[in-house]
Amino acid sequence: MNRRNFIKTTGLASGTLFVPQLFAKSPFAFANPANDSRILVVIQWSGGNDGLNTVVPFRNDIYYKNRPKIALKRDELLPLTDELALHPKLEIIKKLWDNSEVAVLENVGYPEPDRSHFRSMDIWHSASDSDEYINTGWLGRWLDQGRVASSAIEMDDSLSLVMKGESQKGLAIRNIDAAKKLAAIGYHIAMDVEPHEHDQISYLRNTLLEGTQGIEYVHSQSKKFASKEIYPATELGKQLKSIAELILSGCTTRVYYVTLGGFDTHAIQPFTQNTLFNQYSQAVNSFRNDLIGGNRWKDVAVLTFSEFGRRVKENAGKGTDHGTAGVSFLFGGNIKNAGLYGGQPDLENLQDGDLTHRLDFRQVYASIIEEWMKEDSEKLLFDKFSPLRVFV
Amino acid sequence: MTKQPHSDIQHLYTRATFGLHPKFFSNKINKNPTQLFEELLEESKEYSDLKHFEDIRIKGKDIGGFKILKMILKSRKELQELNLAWLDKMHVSRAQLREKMTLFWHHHFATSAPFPVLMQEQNNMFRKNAMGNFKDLLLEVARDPAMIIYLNNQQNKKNAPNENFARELMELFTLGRGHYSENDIKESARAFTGWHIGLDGYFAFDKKSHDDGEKTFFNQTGNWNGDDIIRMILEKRQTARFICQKLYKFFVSPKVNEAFVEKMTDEFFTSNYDITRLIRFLFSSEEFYLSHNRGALIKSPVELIVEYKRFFSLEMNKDQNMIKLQRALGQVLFLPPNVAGWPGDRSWIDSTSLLVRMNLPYVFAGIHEYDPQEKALPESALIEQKGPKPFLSKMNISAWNELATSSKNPKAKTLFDYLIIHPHMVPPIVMSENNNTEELLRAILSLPEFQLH
Repeated sequence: MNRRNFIKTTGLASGTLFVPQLFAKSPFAFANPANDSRILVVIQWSGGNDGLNTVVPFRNDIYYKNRPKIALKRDELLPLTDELALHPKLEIIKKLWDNSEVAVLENVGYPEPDRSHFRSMDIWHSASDSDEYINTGWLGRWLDQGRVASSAIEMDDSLSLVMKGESQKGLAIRNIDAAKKLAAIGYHIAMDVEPHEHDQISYLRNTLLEGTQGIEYVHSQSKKFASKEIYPATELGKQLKSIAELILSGCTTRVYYVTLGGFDTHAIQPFTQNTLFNQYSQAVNSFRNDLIGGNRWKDVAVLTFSEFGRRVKENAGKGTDHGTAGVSFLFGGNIKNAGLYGGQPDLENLQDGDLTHRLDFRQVYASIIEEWMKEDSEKLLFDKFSPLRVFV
Repeated sequence: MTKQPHSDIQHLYTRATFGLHPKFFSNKINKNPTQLFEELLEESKEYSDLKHFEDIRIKGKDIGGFKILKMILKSRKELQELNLAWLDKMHVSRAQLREKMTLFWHHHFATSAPFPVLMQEQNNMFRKNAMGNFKDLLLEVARDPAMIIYLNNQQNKKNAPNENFARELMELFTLGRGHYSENDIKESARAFTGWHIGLDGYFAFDKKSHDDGEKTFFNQTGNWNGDDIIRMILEKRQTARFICQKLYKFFVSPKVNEAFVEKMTDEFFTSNYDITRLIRFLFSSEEFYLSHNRGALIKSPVELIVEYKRFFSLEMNKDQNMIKLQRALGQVLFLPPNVAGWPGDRSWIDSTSLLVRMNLPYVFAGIHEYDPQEKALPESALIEQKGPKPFLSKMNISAWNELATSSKNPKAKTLFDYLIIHPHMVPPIVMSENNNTEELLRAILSLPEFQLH
């Protein structure tokens, strides 16, 4: 055996690449059927965003009584309905609202709410009841329906539960070039993949193959198109720019997942929310412009949610503590029924000082799965939840 | 082609310990698996507690809200210190089997309370009972302050019962779903009312908030308290079975052989939950040594990291990197995802985490750059991301050099056979062309198969 083969098999010279046969040999076709051009982008707000200061019930005295220090004044808000108005920094949502491109989802939550960040996020990711533990995520189960790993990308260094299925898992890529470097080691080994009698080895080798090929594919797509749109120089701005470039290059990835953290506003909430909403508005605005310019906005749906809302009553530190139901947004270029869902926050009937949910978050998922991704939601959510009819 | 005859030893040590360093290998060659297991038991008799934090509690003395708040504020940083202290213990402790069992109980009774002192105390409680009697362990878990906080038993009071602990006690700790009714949960929650932590931070039974009325649990009516509930749970053979299934998945294979688990269950149940008897039964069984059970487990991130420490005295240039690494690989000690613990097995491996694992030997050697960023946390959005930092580490390979040169076999084969457990794997023939131990080690450690044991 010659030196070259030796290197290839052992992965000793991982700086040198022997890529060429990778795709010739590939059993995977990356092209999706024609009707699969619809894309989902999830922008997760981590920390528990305060819904009441996001979509403000500005006519409600109870709101102002409970929040003498942090209540938002009516004249600074961006009006939605006669009763509700947006936080002044959520200009992008206002723009979407005026264009009938957004479903504002009020009072979203689940029965027996859990106020721990991690547990509640777990529940959102796995789409479980609050007293059950499911080891796969709802998008992971979507991947399980015969999809390749690169169908779903989380813009992060490690993969969250939401992207893990039983047999398939998405890719975690924070930085496409760095991921490509990491994947280089796989070329030598991934090339030799054959079915193996030992199923753990087969699993490892398949995972490696899909990761290596997927990252190579995403990397090559990312070089095809450079956006001219100006994005804010924030982490979210950079991530949404990468996503837009992939979408506009015709990349077959259908789900993108990003996280904006910092919503745990136990203190100085007004400052934090201003900053985060400003980052969000600017980044999403550029993203939308970019996709409209490339005529792909019609193929994109964006979901924004947080693991819980916050208490109605403010605390002593100009902040709010962990609560229950919150606000989500579902928007894009193909929203059929824009408007308000889930009614207004019911401040008169609180449970232990917290809002009660009216929309189950799994109804939101059901809408996305059934109406947008055109899949059977019961299969992915283990139960029937009535879709909201946002896209149909 | 067969592996070298010593593979039984590797198989036992990779499962029952965190890895056997090559310099100790020759001591083991002339012993059979039973002798080796007894030796591991013997070595686990003496052990020491984790003593990273001084316990500031004083029995009978109110800790005070201010101090509690201070503890919570420092807890993130301090839990990381405790994490590193335990990793070190797994690395250096002679009581390897006990540490492995302590990790098993940490997986099983997954807890994460924001009080490092209490997490340390719980960890020591697991260590003490790791190989003792499951009943003693369970009784202590029900009185464990970290657990009481984590599962809200502090809020479980006569007039407003909180069912969290009672539910998980049966669903996750003893019986498993489907072996109790909702009513059993309600009634047992009542039995645990008033099992709380006093102002001094120690477990106390609060008579005032305890419901001492009649409860009907598993169709038996009486004035039950928490100890009665645990006794009745342990009277069910299903509890023994549930633990045996979990132990099988931890030590043998993710594919449970139910017939064998029934035998384990007999052993455990008839010995009144003697853990040492159970693991002796397991580790001396033919089942454990069956060819298809070798290399059938995916190393957890903690097992992988500790193995690097034990094999190569891995040291990071920064403590923080040891935490970063755990996070990137999906398992941070003392921070299980939820009370059900880490799902384990294939959930450890996705494309990215596998590529990271395979790159590690090159990253540690400074050949590949890798600097994972922390996930966006509830409180951490506003921190600017910094540029890549080297993730440099030191690895000591002198013993491996000795091992490789002392054998008649080619270096590559010797190293490969030692590090790759799977019986059907043979080193790529071409490896033998290379004579550089360091390069060979990196090549072997970066194989996907090294993730299995």
